Amino acid sequence: MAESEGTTGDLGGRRVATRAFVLFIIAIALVMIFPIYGLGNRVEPYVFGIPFSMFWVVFWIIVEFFAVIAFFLYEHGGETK
Amino acid sequence: MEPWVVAIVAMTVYLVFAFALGLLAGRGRSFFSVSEYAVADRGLGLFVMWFLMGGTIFSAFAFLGGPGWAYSKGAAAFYILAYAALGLLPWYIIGPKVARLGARHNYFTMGDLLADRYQSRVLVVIVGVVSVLAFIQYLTLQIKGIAYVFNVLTEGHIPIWLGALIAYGIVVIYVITSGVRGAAWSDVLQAILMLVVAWVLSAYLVSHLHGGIGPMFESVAREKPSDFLIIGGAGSAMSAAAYSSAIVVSMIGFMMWPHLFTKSYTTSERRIKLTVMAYPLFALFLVPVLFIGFAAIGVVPPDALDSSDQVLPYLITHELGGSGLIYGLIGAGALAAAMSSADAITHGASVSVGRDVVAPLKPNMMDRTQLLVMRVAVVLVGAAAYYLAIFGAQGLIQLLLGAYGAIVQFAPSVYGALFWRRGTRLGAVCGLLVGVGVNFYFQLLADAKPFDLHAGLLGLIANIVVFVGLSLLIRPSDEDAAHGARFVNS
Repeated sequence: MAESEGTTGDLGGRRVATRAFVLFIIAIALVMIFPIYGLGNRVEPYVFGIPFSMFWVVFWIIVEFFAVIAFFLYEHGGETK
Repeated sequence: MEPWVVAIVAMTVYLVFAFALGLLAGRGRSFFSVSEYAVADRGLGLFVMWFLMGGTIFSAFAFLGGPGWAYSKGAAAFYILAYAALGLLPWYIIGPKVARLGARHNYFTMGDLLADRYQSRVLVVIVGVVSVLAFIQYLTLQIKGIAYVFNVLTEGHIPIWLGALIAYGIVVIYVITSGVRGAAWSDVLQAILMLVVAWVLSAYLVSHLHGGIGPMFESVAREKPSDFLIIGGAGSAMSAAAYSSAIVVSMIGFMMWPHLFTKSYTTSERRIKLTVMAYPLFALFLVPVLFIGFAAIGVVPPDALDSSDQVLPYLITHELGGSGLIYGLIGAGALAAAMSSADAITHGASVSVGRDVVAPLKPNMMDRTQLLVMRVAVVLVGAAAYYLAIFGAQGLIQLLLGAYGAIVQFAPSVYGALFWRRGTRLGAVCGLLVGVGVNFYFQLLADAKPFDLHAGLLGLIANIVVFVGLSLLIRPSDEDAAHGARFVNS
């Protein structure tokens, strides 16, 4: 994988979280598809007027947005530029 | 003034802007450099990158097809959100690695990378030919969208062939002169315009027709069978397996589109990751686009439309009171959506022809000759797509559809190149061929698919089995082993 020793020189000793990111991709994909999507796959309750089946998708997209920011800050947060 | 006159004026103003921006983008850059034409000398900035990648999902499909899906298929339209949200995530992992390899070994295409890893010209030419056919199909859809919008909003005063010719002609010219930079900068304008138009339109329609989001969905629930807003029920448009496998295939296949993959070569690791970071926002931007389709339920009678893609134009002409300004705004927004995808695809197709189809067959081409081939390819690919969009050709369309679905089959070779040192040339070539074949069979010829799974996923399974099986069965040559180690370690 990318975080093997060979790359640390190029990356200036930066923190890398490649393996965790791969797990994150799999997790966020799983909540969008069956069987896990089955938990959200219902019309009621409506949230902000939106059926729950749609709110579920939108909710996890928002979670994804903040998660990727967290990954980026963990990996690149300490850089000056 | 008649609404259609205002519409023509507004669309013309937009076209002039897009044209000027596309031409100016290439100013002061080397006109005769392959690296500049193909990958902007690996120096695209973050802002442009966001819109370049964002513009690709805001295609004619999103603008016309998104509301159409929501209107006719209900919950199955959530697939579009999931696809847009997940499609770019793998780029966070592979993008930086592809960028490093590309800068070190001077790659411009996916074919360059595969050729270097597997040392196989056959593989590259297959990838090149499948890509170009798929690009033509994709382009044909965009040009049809352009032609349709022109025709409806000018109330038939501009014939279909002329509207498409003008709008797409502009794309062809700025791609030839400015290369990827032309596509990128005009995408900034196009994406912003389309977003603004979609949001304003959606907010207006939802409140005007239903008085809010809540009442709108309550009305949908009354009008439609109870399974309309969920997946996999008796009244749903898609089964659970079909929905899930379509999302999986889109997620794996999105970055395998060569015009997106090669964007890894246009920028830096940091910018790639920041682009991925912003991408879920683009998925959220699509939510109001789906609302447009839901708002039409109970308002637009189903038998008033030839196809559900016409729901947005129908709403505009029947529900908005024929205001010229709205016609013009929406015309410009829809053109922006179609053109921002068309330019990126036209550019990608021209690079694929030059680099992955012609160059392997005729090695030792000079840089200038290769660039000339690419620019000629812009015109040829453009002309082919234009012809198909306006005049159609039944037999060819089947072939193109098959290629379109086959893009995801590049994934095992590409991921194998980056992360698996044991992959071999024979395994990659045979896996790809079997995958494309299986996909083609289930997409176009078979009556039913096992477990109702997506044809691309069935192809992928066969592809991976063959790729991994053959690679493990036959001892790799020293050459294969050396390249494998070099790629995985870089």
